[in-house]
Amino acid sequence: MALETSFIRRVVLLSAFASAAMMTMPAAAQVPSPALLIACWGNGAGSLQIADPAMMKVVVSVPLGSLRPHGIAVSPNGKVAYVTLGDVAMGQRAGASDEIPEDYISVIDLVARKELRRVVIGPGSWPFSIVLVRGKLYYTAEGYGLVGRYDPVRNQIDQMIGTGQIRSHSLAVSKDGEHIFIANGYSDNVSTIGLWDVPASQRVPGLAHLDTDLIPRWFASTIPVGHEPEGIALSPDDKEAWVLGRGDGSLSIIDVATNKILRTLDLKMKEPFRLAFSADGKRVLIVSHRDTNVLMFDAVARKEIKRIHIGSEIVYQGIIAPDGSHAFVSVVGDDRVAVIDMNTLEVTGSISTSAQPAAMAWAASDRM
Amino acid sequence: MRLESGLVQRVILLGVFTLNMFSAVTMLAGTQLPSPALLITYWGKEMASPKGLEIADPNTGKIVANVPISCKGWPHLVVASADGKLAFVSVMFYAHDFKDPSQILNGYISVIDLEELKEKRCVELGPDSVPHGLFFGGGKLYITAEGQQLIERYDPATDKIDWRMGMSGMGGHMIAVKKDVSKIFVANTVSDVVTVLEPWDHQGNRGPHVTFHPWMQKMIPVGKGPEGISMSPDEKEVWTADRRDGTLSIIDVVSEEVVKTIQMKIKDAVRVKITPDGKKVLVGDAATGELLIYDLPARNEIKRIENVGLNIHDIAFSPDSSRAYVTAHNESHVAVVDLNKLELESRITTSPRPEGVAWVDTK
Repeated sequence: MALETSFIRRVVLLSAFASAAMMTMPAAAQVPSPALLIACWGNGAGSLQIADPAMMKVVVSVPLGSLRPHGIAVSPNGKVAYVTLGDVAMGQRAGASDEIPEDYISVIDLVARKELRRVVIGPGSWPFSIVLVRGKLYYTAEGYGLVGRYDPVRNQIDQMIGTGQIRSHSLAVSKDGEHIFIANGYSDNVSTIGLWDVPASQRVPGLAHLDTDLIPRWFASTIPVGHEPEGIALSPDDKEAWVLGRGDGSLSIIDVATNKILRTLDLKMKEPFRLAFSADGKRVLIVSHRDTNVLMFDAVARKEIKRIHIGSEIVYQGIIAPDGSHAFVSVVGDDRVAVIDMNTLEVTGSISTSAQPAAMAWAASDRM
Repeated sequence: MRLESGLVQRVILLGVFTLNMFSAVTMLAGTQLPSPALLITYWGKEMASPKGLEIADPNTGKIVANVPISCKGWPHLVVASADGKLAFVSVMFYAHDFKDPSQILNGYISVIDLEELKEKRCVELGPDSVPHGLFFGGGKLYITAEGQQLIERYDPATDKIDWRMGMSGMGGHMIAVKKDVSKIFVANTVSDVVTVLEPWDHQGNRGPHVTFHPWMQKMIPVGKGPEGISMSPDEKEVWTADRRDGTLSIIDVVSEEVVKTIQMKIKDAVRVKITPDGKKVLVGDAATGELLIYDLPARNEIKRIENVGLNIHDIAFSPDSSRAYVTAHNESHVAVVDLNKLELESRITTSPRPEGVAWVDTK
C-alpha cells in the first residue's frame, strides 16, 4: 500500500515534470519544415518560438533572456537562426551615468534548439533588421546609424557603413548583395548603398576624378520618401523596393536600377508598419500598427485586393508561406499569430504564442 | 669592377650605419619621455620599412627615442591622452594597397605607453575602416573611420570601442571637436561637406525612440575637398582647408553655417591649424611646401613661408604659440617655424616619411 502510494506519487511527479518540460522543450518534438519562427518579446523574457504552421501550434521555445528580440534571419538549410537583441530600456534611459548594456546578434541552433553564441554589436547599438544574403548577415544598428555585415563562417563583422541618418531601422538587400536599402524612420528617406568588391572609383564613373586612394568600396545616397518610413521590402525579382510611410500612410515604390521613385500611393491606412511579398511576387501583405485590418495588395496592378479584419490593433508583422497557401500575422497585443487563407482571404485560425509575438521568419530545410 | 665593389661596400656601410642609428635611438636604456616632447609618426616607403613613433625634444631639436609600431598598415596621425601617458596613432591602408580586391584589410589604433616608450596594443577597428582623424576628450579617443563613414570612440580604460556613429556624406577624414565633446565637426573630403554631430549618450538624452536626437547631424556645405579642419581655442569658429578649390571655409560653431569663404592662392591646401592663442591660422600647401599664415581676426594672409617642406602632413604648436612644428612627409623632417618672427627657424631630421605630429607636456 505504502509502496503503491509512493509509486503513484512518483508517476504523478514524473508526469508533472514531463508536462512542465513539454511546455518549453518537448524531447520528441522535431522542428517542422517549413517552420514558422516567431520572436516574442515576452514582457522582458524574450524567446524565439518555433511553430508548426500546419498544426497551428508552437512546438519549441528557445529562451533569449531580457533583451528584446527584433529581427530574424535563417540559414538556407533552415538549421540556424540569427536574431538581433536590443536593450529594451534604450528609449527610456535618461541619465548619462546609466551603464549602457551590450546589444547582440544571437546565433541559434534550430535543431538543438539552443543559443550557440552571441555576436557583440556594441553598447547602445540597437541592432534591428537582419537579412541573410549570400552567406552574410546584413543588419542595421539604429543606435549607431549604420548598416553592418557579419560573416558567420569567419565569425567576424567584415563591413560597416555609416548611413548618417536618423533611425536606420528596416533593411532590404538584393540577392546579389549589391543593393542595400534602409528605411530611415526620422529622416524621411531611404539610404541606398551599392556595395562591391572593387574600389568605388573603378565602379562609379562619376567618381573617377576623385582621389582614388581614399574612396571606400561602396557608394551611398538617399532617396526622399513618405513620412516616417518603416517597413521596406524588395520584390522577389529585386527590381522594386517598396517602402511604407508610417507617418502618412504612404507607399513609395523605388526602381532599384535607377534609385528613383516610380510611384507613391496613399494606402488610406493608419500607420502601415510592415509588408511582405508572396514568393511569386504577385501579392503583398501590408500590416498596420494602428489598424484592425491588414491589407492584401496586388503587386502588379498596384491596387488593393482586400482589407482583412484581424480584430486587434498593434499588429507587428505579416508574412506569406513559401507555398503561398496561407499568410501569418503576429498580433503583439493578443499573444497570437492570426492565420489567413490566401484563397479565401479570411482569417481561418490562430497560433497561441508567448507574450508579445513580433518578428517572424520561415525556416525551411534544403529539401523544400 | 672596382667601382662596383666600392658601391657595394658603401651600400653595406650605409646599411650598417642606418641600422646602428636606428638601434641607437631605440635601444637607449632608461630613455624617458622628455617634457615637453614632440610625437612624430613615420613610415618608410615599403610596407616592410621601419615605422613607428619618434619622440623629439623640442628644446634640443633632436630625436631622443623611437617606438616601433607593429600594427599592420601605415601610421598616420597621433594624439596624446590628457595626462600625457598614452599616445594613439591611427594606422591605415590605402585602396592601392589592395592587390586582391576581395582582400580585407583592417584599420588599427596603435596604443603607445609614453612612460615605457612601448607599443601596448593594436586596437582593431574592422575591415576597410581606414582610420584618420583623432581627438582625445573626456578620457576617450574619437576616431574617424573613413572607409566605413563612421566616428568611433575607444575607451582606453576598458580597451573597448564603446560608441560608433554613422555619418552622412563620404570621405569623413579629419575632425575638430569641442573640449567637452558636445560637438564634433568632420570634414568629408568626397562629398564637400562638414558633418556636425554629438554623441547621443553624451547629454543623457539617448535612444531611438525619442523623436529629437541630440546627435542629429547636420551637413554644412563648404568648399571642394575639405580635408584639414581646426577649431579656434574659444570654440567659436571652425576652419576647413578645401583641397580641391583652394578655399578656406569658416564655420560658426553655434549657427553651424559658413560665415566666410576665403579664396587662397594655393595649389594643395592639405591642412589648416589654428594657434593655441587663437590669433593665427596656418595652412600647409602639400604641393609647393609653402606655409601660409593668416591673421584669424582680420582673416587675411600675413605671411607666406617658402621651403617648409614638400608634402606637408600635419602641424603642431608649442602651447605659448611661439612655434609651429610642420611635418614634411617627402623630406624627412619637421620644420620648426618661429611664429613671432614668422620665419623658418630650423629643421628636426626624422626617419623617412614623417606624418603626424603632436605636442605633449607631462609636467
